[in-house]
Order: sequence, then C-alpha cells, then structure tokens
Amino acid sequence: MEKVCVLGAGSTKYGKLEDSISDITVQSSAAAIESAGIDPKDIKAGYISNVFGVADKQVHLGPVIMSNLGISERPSLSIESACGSGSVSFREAYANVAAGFYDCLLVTGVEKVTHTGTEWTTTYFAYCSDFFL
Amino acid sequence: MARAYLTEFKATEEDLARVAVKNHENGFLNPKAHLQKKITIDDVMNSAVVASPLKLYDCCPFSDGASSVILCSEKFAKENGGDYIEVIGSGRGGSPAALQGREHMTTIPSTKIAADAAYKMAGITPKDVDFAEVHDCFTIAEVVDTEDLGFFEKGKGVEAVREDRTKLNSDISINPSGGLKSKGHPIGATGVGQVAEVYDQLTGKAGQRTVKDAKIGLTHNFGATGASCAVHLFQSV
Repeated sequence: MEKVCVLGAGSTKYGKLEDSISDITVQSSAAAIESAGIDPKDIKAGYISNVFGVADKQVHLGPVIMSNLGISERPSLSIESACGSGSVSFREAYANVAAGFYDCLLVTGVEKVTHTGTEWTTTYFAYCSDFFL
Repeated sequence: MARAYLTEFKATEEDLARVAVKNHENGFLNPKAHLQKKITIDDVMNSAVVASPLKLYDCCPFSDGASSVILCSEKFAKENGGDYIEVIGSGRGGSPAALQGREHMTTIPSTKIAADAAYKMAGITPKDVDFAEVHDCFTIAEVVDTEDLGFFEKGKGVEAVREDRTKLNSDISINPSGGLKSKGHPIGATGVGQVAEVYDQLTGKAGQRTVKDAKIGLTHNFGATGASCAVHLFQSV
C-alpha cells in the first residue's frame, strides 16, 4: 500500500451562506488547491460528499465542480452517508491512493440547506434516520 | 441516549452543558466558525428544551459550508513540496439504523469498530492521540464518543468533562475547532472539515486554538445516530 498524505486544506466559513452550493464548493476546493501549492491539473479525480444537494436544486455535483476548476475530463463521484458523508468519502479517496489508482485527489464536502427554512431543514435531516420505520 | 447516560452514570444536565461551553470557547478562536461566541452553563440550562434532557444549546446548528483537502501519495507530496501530514490509520464501522436495534443506549457500536481498525492500522493506542475532532452533533454525543474512542472508560467521559480534562491543551484536546456545536455542521462537509482542522493543527496553521506539541490527531465522524462511522488518524512528519 502507498503511504497517503494530506497536502493542503481549505474551507468556507460555516453558517448561513448566500452563494450557491456549486459556488461554495468551488471556493473551498480552490482554497485547498492553493494551500497544497498544486495545479488543478494535478488532481486525478474528485470525491464529493453531499447529502441534500436537491435543496439547492443541484445533484451530480462532481462534474459541475470539476468543470469550474478547469478539469472537466477528470472523473468524480458523490458519496452520501448522512452526517458521516465527509469521512466516508475521505476513506474511499484514501483507499484509492493507498491502492495506487490515483496519486492526487480532491476531497470536498458541502452542504447548503439553511435557505429552505427550519421546517424543511429539519425534515431533510429526519430523512437520515430509518424514516419509514 | 442522553437520558440513558445521565441515569446510568449519575451525570447531570450541567455536565453536558459544560461540553457546549468548552466547544464555544474553542470556536470563539476559529474565524470560520458558525457560532463564534462564548456561552455560559446558565445560557445552556436556560435554553429551550428540544427533546428532554437536550436543550437548544446542547444541539449543533444547521449550517451551510464546504471544506476540502488534497489527498496524495507520499511520493507526490515530496515531489511537489509544501507542508503535508501522513494518514496513519483508517477505519470504518456500522451500527443498527434504528436505536431499538441496539443492545445499549450509551455506546455507538460503529465508533468502536472503526476506531479499533484505525488504531490497529496505525499501530498505536488511544493514549498516543494528542487531540481529536469528534462527532458532537449533541453534547451527549461528544461524551459517548470520547469513551467509544478509548480516551476514557465507559461512564468516565463525563468525569473528564467535569474536571476540564478535555479542554484545549488539557489532558486531551477534544474538538479544538469548536466541534459541530460551535464550528457548525454542514452535514456533507463536516467530515472533511475535521481533516482540514487536523491539517491546520499539525502544520502550525491553527492560530490561537493550536494544540501545543501535537503529533497525532484523530477524526471521528458518523451519520445520523451513528449508523455509519469512519475514524482516521494523522501524524505530523
């Protein structure tokens, strides 16, 4: 297995954000790329973690993000495990580097739900449980 | 889970409130935090009941946000140059989706499974961990997490909180970022945000909330009531 490293990191502020789900994901990703001192072209794939993109009318986030970063030919995927999405996605990215499939990956997590209001946000979160039990 | 824990281990709501106060102290030092303000135990105790015994200030907020990291091989990191940290352990685990499917209410099975795998891969024990970003969706979760991760015996996590042994630069710094409680919880981003915090801590970029002399950091993140969990361990190089 290859040794795996974290080379850079970036985040938006957390809170009530005005920009779209795609914009905040690109902002955060760009910050991580700058932190790592790499060129976007060094990224071989994007691992996105997101649960309720549908709240901002955007699922299939991967290609949107990769296109905005100028690397639309690179593959991407979205991973969902409720509030655990970020670490589960990180683990999958880790496994792919450890196995030697990729040498450099972007791992990005995002959520944009506050604009839907308390009732809808609470409802969305309830979907993470065994909802129809 | 909170009710079961308070009953079984004779803990109080004030004990849980102490977790929220600590995390807000840390989040106050985090410019990216959603709730960047200090609170008191009275603030927590006087806040509206959400689901007894948990009150508003026992619960993390709903947040928007995004966090990102660049993950690479060591070879790539060395050739590229720049600060990097090593991922030394990775573990996954699952728990029954419905709470009534679990044997005990005061432990989250997926955490133990994931943590055991991560510690084994890294060849270390909980004692070697200098700080941890754990999943504190509610104050009770942080207490249970610290026990399931092996930092304290079952039932003793709350004593550690009472004695301020999980504060920044105490015995073990738990949630130096402010945790989900103060930093916020954009649910798809949180797990990656924890890794970003560990990166900042271990490369000297955590400013006023720096955990001094830290070499090994842990991230712990789970979905819903702990049905999906992942634990990762990181080391400075």
